Amino acid sequence: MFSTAFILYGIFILGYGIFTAALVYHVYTFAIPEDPLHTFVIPFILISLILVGVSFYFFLHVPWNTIL
Amino acid sequence: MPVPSLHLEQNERVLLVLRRHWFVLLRESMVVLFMIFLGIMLFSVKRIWYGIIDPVIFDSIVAFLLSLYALLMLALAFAIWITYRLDVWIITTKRVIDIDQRGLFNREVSEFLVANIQDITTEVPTMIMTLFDFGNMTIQTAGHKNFVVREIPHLEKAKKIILECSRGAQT
Repeated sequence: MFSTAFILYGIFILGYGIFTAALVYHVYTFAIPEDPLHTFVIPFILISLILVGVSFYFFLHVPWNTIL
Repeated sequence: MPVPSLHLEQNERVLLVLRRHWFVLLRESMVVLFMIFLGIMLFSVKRIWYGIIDPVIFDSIVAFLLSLYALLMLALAFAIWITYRLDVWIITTKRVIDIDQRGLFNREVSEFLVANIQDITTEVPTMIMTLFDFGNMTIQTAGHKNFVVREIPHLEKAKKIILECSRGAQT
């Protein structure tokens, strides 16, 4: 069960990473350079990384092998 | 607002940079707020779940799922914010540049000379728009399609500036 959950969690994080990369790409490619929109990118990435860390911590605390 | 990245021509300057009204952002953010509320409500009704799953396992799964849900909500909120900020309308003394960000991967950039403007129609079709002072503008240009700009603030100011520039360019 742990292996399956870990693979699914990995796919989710990978998908999230791709989507986040697309968002950041949009900001740097399409925003007018004079627009301070890019200043929001660093806080967004930092909060994302913190939440990924938190989710990984909680993932490790789930007793996966006792669920089924 | 000086916008040198637009590669303005000589004697051309930016008069107005418009984004959709903040009420539009608020309306679209309501989806995220509703989903956060729904997620918290779903997991906070513990009594029902405790009858099905062992409380220790349930609490650890809920903490894990909520952290993933928070990630999703963060990405969704940022996507809404980006879409709002990238949808911009720039009026210069010679051109009107309409950057229409319809979705994250759906974008259209239109540009036309103010000298080609024939007719401008503004409309404030709803009570909310009347209360918060924003509306839609349709610009008809000579030989081209109509340009519709939706839910922008300072409608009359924008119309006045465009008409003044148009008259100046045509004479």
